[in-house]
Amino acid sequence: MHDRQFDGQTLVFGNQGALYKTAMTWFDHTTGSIWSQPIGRALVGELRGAALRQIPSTLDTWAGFHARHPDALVLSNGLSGPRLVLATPRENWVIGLALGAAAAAVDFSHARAAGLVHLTVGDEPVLVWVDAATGTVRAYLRRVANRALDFEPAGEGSLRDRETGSIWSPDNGLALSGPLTGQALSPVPWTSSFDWAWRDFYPQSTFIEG
Amino acid sequence: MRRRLGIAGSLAVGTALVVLGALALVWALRSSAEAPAVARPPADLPDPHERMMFDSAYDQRLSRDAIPPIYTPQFVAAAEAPLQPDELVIGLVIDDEARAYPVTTLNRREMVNDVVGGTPVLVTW
Repeated sequence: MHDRQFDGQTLVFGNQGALYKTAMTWFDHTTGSIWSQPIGRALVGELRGAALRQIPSTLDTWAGFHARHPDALVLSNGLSGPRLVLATPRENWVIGLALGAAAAAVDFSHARAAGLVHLTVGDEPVLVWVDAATGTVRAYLRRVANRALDFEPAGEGSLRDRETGSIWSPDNGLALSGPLTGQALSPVPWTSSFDWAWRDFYPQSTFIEG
Repeated sequence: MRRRLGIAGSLAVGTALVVLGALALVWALRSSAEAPAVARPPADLPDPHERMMFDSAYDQRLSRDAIPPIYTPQFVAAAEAPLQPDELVIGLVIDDEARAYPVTTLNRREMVNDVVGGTPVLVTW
């Protein structure tokens, strides 16, 4: 998920139909430059070197997202075909995190089995949460007021931080009760990727595979 | 409430995905055979080594937009959306404006140019 604005102009993107390092490429209709999806960066063309801002998004079941956002609009292009219900998004699938020069990838199956994965990407403490039943994914910066937090399951789908005992919702990253009530964890942008593609783009990446 | 797939169900879905994928590929290759050829990527990598590294990693498979992106997204209200409770959606919220992009659609179309909460966004899968 990226912001299409670059250098004061709004770009429209098409599908280049090529792979770069085995991953998808785009072209922009303004300059025809060719962009690489995993890094959101133009590889060749007039905008070579330009990078788009990544925007945090979530992967949810429809039931979960609808419950939290009853006013949501749903993309309806091509909804008439057969529906596919996917229990697991993909094989060899990782949750990729790139913060500054540092990168980390968490194996989706491992994260789903573990529920919570604590990691540090560069200097940033990060929490990855995957709901075992639905495959819903969240990634947060697990730092509040300059203190890194460690989380554990607290029953009924909520989390507890070990530092203050506050209770948090993994769905929206809000502290619901305890000393940190009302505080929010910042969402961290993440990318779904095949593990080999992530390794190609981020050779310095750590891999957390359980 | 939540429908669970047994092993057989998962295999059936997996097989269906493979078949659908093969059909999509055949369709896309046919389309690309009829579409004008794509020019080589812009030759603005003057350093021969850099050019060679790019070319070795770059693999043009289809013509541009052979897999058609969504340029004019359309929407239905959540209450009207004919989605299964357990199908996956990419969720996006910007300035209290919420969007759900069904993964089923993204599997077929791969890219959506949208504007959410005043921000032009590119959704890709």
